[in-house]
Amino acid sequence: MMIEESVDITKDDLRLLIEGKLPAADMERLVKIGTKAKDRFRNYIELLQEKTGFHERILLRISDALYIVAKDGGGRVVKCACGQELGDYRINWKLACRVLVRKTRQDFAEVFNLPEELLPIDPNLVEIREYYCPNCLIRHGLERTPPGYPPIFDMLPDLDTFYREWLGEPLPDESADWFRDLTYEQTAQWAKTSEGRETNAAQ
Amino acid sequence: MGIGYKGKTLKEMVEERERSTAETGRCYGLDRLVLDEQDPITLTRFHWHITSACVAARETAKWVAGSPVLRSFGECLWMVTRPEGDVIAASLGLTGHVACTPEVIRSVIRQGFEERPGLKDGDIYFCADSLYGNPHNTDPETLVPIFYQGQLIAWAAAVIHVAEIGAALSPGSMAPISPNTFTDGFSFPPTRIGENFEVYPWWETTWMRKTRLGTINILDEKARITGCLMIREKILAMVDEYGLDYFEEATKEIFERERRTLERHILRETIPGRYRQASFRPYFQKGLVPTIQEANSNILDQQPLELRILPTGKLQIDAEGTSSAWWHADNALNPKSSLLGLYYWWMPTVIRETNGLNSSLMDQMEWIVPPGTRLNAAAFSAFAGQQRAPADNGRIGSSMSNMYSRARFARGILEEAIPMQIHGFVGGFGGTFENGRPWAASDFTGASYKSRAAGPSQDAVEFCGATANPQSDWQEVEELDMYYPPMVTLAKGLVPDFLTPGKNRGALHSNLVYLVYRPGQGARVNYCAIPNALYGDIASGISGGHPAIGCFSILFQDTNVMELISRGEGYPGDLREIWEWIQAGKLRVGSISAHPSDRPSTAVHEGDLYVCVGNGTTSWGDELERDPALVEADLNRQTISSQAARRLFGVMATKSDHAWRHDASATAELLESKRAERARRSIPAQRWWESERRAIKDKTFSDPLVSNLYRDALQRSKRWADEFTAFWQLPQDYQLEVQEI
Repeated sequence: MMIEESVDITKDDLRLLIEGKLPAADMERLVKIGTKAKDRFRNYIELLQEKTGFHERILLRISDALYIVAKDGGGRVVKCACGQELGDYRINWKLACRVLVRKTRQDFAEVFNLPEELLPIDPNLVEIREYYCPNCLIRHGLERTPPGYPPIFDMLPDLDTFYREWLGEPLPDESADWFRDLTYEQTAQWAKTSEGRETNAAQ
Repeated sequence: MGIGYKGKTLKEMVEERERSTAETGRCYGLDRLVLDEQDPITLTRFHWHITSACVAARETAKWVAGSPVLRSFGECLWMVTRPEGDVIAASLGLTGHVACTPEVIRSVIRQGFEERPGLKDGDIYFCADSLYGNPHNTDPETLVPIFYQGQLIAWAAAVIHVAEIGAALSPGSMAPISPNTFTDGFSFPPTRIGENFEVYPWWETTWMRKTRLGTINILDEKARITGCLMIREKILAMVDEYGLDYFEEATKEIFERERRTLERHILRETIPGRYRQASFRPYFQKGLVPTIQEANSNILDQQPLELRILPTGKLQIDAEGTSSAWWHADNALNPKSSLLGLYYWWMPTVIRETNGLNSSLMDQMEWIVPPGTRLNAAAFSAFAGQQRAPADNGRIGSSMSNMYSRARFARGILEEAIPMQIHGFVGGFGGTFENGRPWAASDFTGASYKSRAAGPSQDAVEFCGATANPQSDWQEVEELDMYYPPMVTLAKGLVPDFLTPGKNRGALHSNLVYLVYRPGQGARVNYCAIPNALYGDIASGISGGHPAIGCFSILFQDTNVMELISRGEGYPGDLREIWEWIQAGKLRVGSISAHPSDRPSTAVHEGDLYVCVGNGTTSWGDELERDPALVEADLNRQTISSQAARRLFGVMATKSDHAWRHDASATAELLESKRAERARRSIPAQRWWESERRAIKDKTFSDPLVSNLYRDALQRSKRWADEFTAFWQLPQDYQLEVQEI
């Protein structure tokens, strides 16, 4: 493999990098390049488009198996590699997952692979939350927090700024609304549903 | 008439620097880099001359020191700064200090030494106090002003993490329990400790009387000064070679040139937007300091962090929602003293692009730390404890690294999307020998190496260098054992099977096993965990990977290990073996105490086994997605057992001809059953939310510590309170009462 500053990484090697199969020596040489080439992102997206087979345009990859894609009829949503959609990217995608909460010493011993007697954990103080895709059950997220801590919204990208100002390729559906956190609108909706259900049950 | 450039006072120079930078967004207001445009090679050569002066100082002066913390671990840094305090270049070593040194120098300037008694050639200054910029008092900084023809043109600065700082409640250098300034030990605001290039005799007497390792601390002082004087000589020779005007302009241009490199890096390798992470730490102090009533309790601490990568390429790092400062040992009394953790993250992130280590990042970012929080604690009390604050500030570095890795991953820079952990553990030991002589020391072995975390394209790598201190080594047991004779190191190494699973797995944890032998009149141990094992260093893993487990200690007391040794039956070689021997009935223990965080000073006795564990790393991705061939390779390297392969990764393997092979169909079956178990045990997020909300609305929490954590955050931060109540859809006036602990 030839790595030069002006070339950065060939598309074939980038494919290997994405698959986790780039040889260690090439990886090391890649790390040592001073400035990454400008076309890296374009090639990355092209390869991801190929890899996923999505017909929608991928705007960003936000984790191993989660992508923000532009919907054909408008809208930008988070989509799992299996095809499952997890809603508008401005809402924390964790709210569209299935959740497993680990909260006993036995649960922790399983995860830490330690005998319970040696486990330095008080389960009243901490829990592990795992977020699975509702379709393929891949784990997209994992959190270790005190019980009651709201799920962390890891990343809300400013896509319009990125495409217009950093890449010079503005998106067709630009709007100031795209860089907003809508998570709380989702929970407000849930509260209405939940309270409606309770009212109905009371009646 | 001041001692600075063109007769300005140092205060005037600092004010001018701050004003011109704020007005233009460029360091010193520089628009054009004239020297760089005219002759970049000479400017770069000049920069490397300064850097080499720092490196040469470190490599020589560390041999003057007495402490193994310095000689074999290299917990030190030598720097050259401009008169205003900006670090232009630094040696190898403890990188984070370039972020704090500008504030230490500005504190010296603010103290008014220039006016009274006068700041002059040959003076030696010292500072060891978080209130004035040091990360904590255990990282004393010695400063030598460099004068040329009567003008102060630069400072030579040196930091060494000392092995013992005289803290009241715990021996060593990182006291887990130190509620206030008066228990922190040897702490000094900016002080002139010598003149005419000589230290005052009273200063050495002070080290002898105020710390438990006075002789070694004096040698460390001599090491700091030796390096600074070496730097001074080199700088003066450089001014002779390049000229004073060139020196003045070039040091400014280097700084602005480095800032522009950082800006280009951010624009090329990240995605603008908002990133979030959080971390937590427990403080268990109830019953440990009953006479200091205000500190005699337990609390939980939270540190949410938001990184905003702005359209301009500037960074905003906002710690809104961080818990209130309290009477514990983790307070950054000056917000700039908490910057150490940020630099631990930043330096290895961009070093390939810059010409070295410097403090120019400070002008490429904004550090937002609400007053009264642990990261900006003077508004709570200027007398709150600071003893182990930088250990806790490592959480900032880990969170930043995690968030920045997400940005790089999204941009396609996968080879560098590696979330580093600012990990380590420091054991503190002390006691009184049989002959009545006190002893104390810290073992930095656990802080002196690092494993690389897993990334999107690769597994973690054990023992590949410490992020905070890239030049360190895992120390020599033979040398260290001399410093704490009653604590005999039985074993150090990796613990098989003990790792975080993932598509790309985390690094194995390591352990140190000590045997207490001839403790004399009394011996005790403590432990500083960076980070704690209750919450780890970050809350949210990447791509479904696990955050690192964290650091913890286990004390096995009333054992029969001395009998086993005397009968020639050996001793256990690591934590797993200790447990296997206990299970087999070979090793008998009276009690086991596993502590998830900092262990307070604890008495130990002959035959006790003390195990310190830590330095595993985060994994990346879902372990059920791991290539079974990689699990097979781990089996054959004995990194994991077949039981762990099955339990953690869902891979079935059999051994034949001394080699493990995975069984593809049995593995597929097991993976399928693990996915089915996920489906069975999990519920839709909405159902989970409804059930949690009911409890929170009813103010029912799993523990009073958890309730008090949220009570504090709700009262302290409006933004955090608004988001908490909006997420759980609580009344806007939702508040919690204090729960008794």
